[in-house]
Amino acid sequence: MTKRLLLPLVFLHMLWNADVCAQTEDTDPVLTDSLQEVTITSHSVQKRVEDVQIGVEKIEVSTLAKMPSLLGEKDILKSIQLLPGIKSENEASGGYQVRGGKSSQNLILLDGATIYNAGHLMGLFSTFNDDALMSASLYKGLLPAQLGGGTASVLELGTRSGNLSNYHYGLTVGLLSAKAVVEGPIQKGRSSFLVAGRRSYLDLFLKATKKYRDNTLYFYDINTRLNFRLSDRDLLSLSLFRGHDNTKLEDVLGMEWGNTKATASWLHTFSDRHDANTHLIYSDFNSDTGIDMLNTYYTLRGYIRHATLHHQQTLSTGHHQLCYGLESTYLRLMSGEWNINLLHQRERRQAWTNALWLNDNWQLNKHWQLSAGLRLRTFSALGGSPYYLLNGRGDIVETINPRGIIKTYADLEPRVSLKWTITPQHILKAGYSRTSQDIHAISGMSMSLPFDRYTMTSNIVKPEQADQVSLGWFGITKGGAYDWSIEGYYKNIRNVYDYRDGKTFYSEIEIERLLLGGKGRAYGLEFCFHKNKGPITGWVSYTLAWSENKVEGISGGRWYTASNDRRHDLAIVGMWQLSPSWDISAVWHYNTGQALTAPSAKYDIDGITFYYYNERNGYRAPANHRLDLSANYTKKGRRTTRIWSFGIYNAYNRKNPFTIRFKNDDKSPTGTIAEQTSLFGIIPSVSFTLKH
Amino acid sequence: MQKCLLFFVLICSLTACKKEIDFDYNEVAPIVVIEGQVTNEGTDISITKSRSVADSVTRYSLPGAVVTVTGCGASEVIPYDPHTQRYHSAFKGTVGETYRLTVDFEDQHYEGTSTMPAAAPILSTEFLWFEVMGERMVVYEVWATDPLPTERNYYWWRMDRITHHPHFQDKPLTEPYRWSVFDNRGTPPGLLYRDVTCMSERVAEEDEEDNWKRILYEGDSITFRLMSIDRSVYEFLTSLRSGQSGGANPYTNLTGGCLGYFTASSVTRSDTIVFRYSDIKPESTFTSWRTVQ
Repeated sequence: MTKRLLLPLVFLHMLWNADVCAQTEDTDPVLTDSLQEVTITSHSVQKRVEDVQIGVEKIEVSTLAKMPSLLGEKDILKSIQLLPGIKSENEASGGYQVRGGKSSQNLILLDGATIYNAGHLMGLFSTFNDDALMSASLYKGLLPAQLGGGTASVLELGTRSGNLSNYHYGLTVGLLSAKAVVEGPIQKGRSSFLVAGRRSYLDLFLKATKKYRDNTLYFYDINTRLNFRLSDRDLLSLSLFRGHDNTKLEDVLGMEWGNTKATASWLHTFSDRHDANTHLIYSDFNSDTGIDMLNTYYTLRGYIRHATLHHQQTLSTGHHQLCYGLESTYLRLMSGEWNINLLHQRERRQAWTNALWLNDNWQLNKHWQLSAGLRLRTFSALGGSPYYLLNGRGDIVETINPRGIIKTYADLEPRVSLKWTITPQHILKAGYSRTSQDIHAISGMSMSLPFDRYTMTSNIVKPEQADQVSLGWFGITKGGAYDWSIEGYYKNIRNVYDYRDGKTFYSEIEIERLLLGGKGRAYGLEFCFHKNKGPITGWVSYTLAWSENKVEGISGGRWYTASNDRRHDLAIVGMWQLSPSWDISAVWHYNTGQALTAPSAKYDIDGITFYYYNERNGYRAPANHRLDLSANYTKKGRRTTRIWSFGIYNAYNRKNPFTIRFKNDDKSPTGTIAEQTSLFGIIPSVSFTLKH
Repeated sequence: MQKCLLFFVLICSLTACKKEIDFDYNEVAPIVVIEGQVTNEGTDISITKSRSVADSVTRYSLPGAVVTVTGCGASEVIPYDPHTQRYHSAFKGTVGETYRLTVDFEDQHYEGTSTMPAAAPILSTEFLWFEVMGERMVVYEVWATDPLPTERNYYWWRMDRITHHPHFQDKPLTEPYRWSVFDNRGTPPGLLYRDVTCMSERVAEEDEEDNWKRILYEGDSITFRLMSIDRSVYEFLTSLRSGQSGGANPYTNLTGGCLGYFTASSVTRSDTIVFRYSDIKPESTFTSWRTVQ
C-alpha cells in the first residue's frame, strides 16, 4: 500500500522540479480557422487561463498520443475523465459525467454534428480516432450563447484538415485494432484531403476457430475531410464520419449500432474583423438489436436523425466581439420499433427546433472582460404521429394525431461569464448559464448503453433545463510554466426522466407511459494544477462534489444521493520526455466508490427470498484507483518515423468494483453474500505505428 | 491466428474476477409481508415479516391476523391453519369478479383488490435440445391456450421440480426451479408459449455445487403452474424482479405500508413429467410460432 501511495508522490515531485522545453506543432492557420480553433501549443496555456469563459477545458490532442490507455487504444473520452469535474460512469464505459450530470446530458459535436453513444464495444473504447482529430473543447455546463442542447456539458470535436503541401500516411497496428490515415493536397496549396480509418480484427481470430467461426464481433470508424480554398475569402470543407459496431452470436443474438454524419461548411471572410460560417449538417444514430431463439423472437430498433442549417457571423468592433447566428434543425426520432414475435409496433416522432443567439465578448477595460449573451430556443413537436393524454398510472386517456404543430416550447437562455484580471498572473472568473435539452435518454441502468430508449420533448415530456453558477480563481506563473485553477459550481436541473416503478424499456411502445420526471442538484469544488513546460509535463486534478436527486415515489419524495455522486476524484498525470527517442507517461486515478443501494432487510415471496431497500444510494462501493503506464519509442528515419508503444493498464493489478451484487445464501452464516465483480486487472499492450 | 485469440482470451480471463466483500448493512425494523391468493383452487394467505439481511431462517406465516376476503356477493373470514401455517380456505374465485382482501394485524389495517382473469389451459410441455455456440442447451417448452386473444392478458408461471438427488438430501428446495411473468403480446391468436432455458449439457456434466440448483437430474419430477393475473399483480412481479438489481422496492397493490401483493387469479397446471435425458427431443421437432399462426 505504501508503494502505491509513493508512486503518485514521486510523479508530483518530478513535475515540480523538471526543466523547460517548449513544444510546437505545425498547423495551417487558415484551414484550422474554419473551426475557430487551433491545435493547442504552449501559447495556448496562456489562452486557457485568459479565456473569459469559465468552466471550459481545452483538450490537447497531441497529449493524447502519449497517455496510457486500455489495450493501447488512444481514447479522447477516457482522457477527458482525468480533468476536474469529469468522471467516468464506470471502468468499462466511455460514458462520462460532468458536474453531477448523467452521460446522456452531454452533447457531443463532431464538426457540429451530434454524436450519440460515442463508444465501440458497448463503450469500452471511444468512437473517435485520435488520428483524425484536430481539437477538442469541453464546456462543463457554462456555455457561450452559440452552443446549446446539453444540460451537463458540450464537447466540441473537430476533424483535422489534410496537409496542403505534402502527402503523408500513417499506419498503426495494435492488439485490438489497426488504423490508417492518409492525407495530402488535392491541388497543392488550395485543397486537401484526409482519410482516417480504424477497424478491430477480433472477428478474424474468431473466423479461424471452428467453435466461434459463425460469430461476429467487430467495429470500425472512418473519418474523411476535404478542404477547398475557393478564394482568398472563401473556404469550403466537407467532412464525413461513420462509426459502426456489429456483434452477432450465430443467428441467435445480434447487436448493431453506430453514427453517421456529414457536414458541409463554408467560411466566408468579409474582412479581418468580420466572417461568416455556414454549416449544413446531417447526422444519424441508429441501434438495432434482436434475439431469435426457438420461440423467442424479439427485435428492437431506434434512431435519432438531425438535419441542420447553422449560420453564424463574428464581428469585431473596438472592444467588442459580437457573435450572432441562427440554427434550424428538423429532427426525426424513433423511440422504438419492435417485433415481439407476431406483434410489430413503432413509435416515431418528428420535431423542429430553432435557435437565435447573440453573444458579446466585451473588453470593458484592462482588468475587466465580459462575455454576455442570450439564446432564444424553440422546440416544436410536430404532428403526423400519435400523441397522448395520460392518467396518473400512465394509461392512455386520449390519443391525438393532428397535423402541424402539437406544442411549442420557447425559452430565453441567458449566458454570462465575467473575468477580472487582478494581475496578469491572477484572474477571477464568474459565470451563469441556463441550458435546455430536448432529447432524453431513458436508461434502466447506471451506465449508458447503445440500446437505451430515447424520446423527445412532447406535449407530456418537458424540456430538461439546468441553471448553473460558477466562480473560479485562475493563476499562471510568468512564462506559463505552471498554471492552476480553483472553481466552485452549483447547478439545479429540472425535468429529468426515469422509468416508473414496474416499467422497463419494453413494457409499452408509447415511451411516455413509462416515465416519471424529477429534479436534481449538484455542487462542488474543482482544483487543477498544470505543469506545462520542460521534459516533464502533466497535471493534478481534484474534484470534491455532491450530486442529489428528488423524484416522487423514491425515498419518500426527499432528496437522495444520486447514483453518480462521487465525493472525491483525484487524477495525477505525468509525461516525461526522456530523450528524443523515448517518452514515458503515467496516470494515477482515484475516486470515491460509486453510490449504491444495498438491502436493509429480506423477505420471502412465493418461496423466493428478495431484498428490501430502505435508502436509495445510501451506501458506497469500495474506492477505485489504478496506475496506468506507457512508454513510446520513436525512431525517425529520413522519410519515415516508427513508433513502438508499450502500455500497462492497472499496473498494480487493483481489483476495482464494476458491479456489487447481493446474493441470498441461507446456507452461509452471514445469510447474504456481497459479491464484487471486477473487470480489468493488469493488462499489457503493445502497438506499432509507421508514419510517412 | 489461434494463438492470438488464445492470448486475448487469456488476458480477459486473467483480469475479470469476482470476490466476496465485507458489507455493513443498515438494518430496519421488520416490515409486514402479505401474500394473498384467491384462485379457482381456493384461498391462501400468508403473513410474514421481513428479516435481517444476515438471517438465514425462512419465516412461516404468523397467526393472529383477521383476514377477510370479499367478492362475488360473499364475504369470508379466512382462518389460520396451524398445519400448513397459512391462512387457508376452500373459498374459490370466479372469473371476472373483483375481490377485496383485508388484513388486520398488530393494530394495522391492510387491504387490496384484484380482478380474476380467465384461465389459460396448458396444452403441452416437453424438453428440447437447442444448440448455440457449439453447446447443447436443455429447453423446456410449454404451450397453452390464450383465453382472450383480443385483450392484453398477463401471466405468472412457475416451474417446480421434486428431486431425490443426493445433493439435496439435507437441503429441501423451497424456491421454484424457474419463475417469471409475461403477457400475450405477439403470440399467435389463441395461443401462449414459453421456452424455459434450463441448463447446458456441459454444466450438467460438470455438476459443480454452485450450479446444483440450476441442474435438472435424471428422475426429477417437473410441474408447471400457469396463473392468469391482473395488471397490478403483473406490475408488482415485474418491479419485484427488476428492482432487485436496481435497488428499488416493488410497486404493491396493497395499502397500509406492507410489502407483498393480493391476486385473484386462475390457475392451470401441467401434468407431471419425469426428466430423462433419453426423452429430450431434438431441436428439429420443436413447434415454432411461425408455423402455427
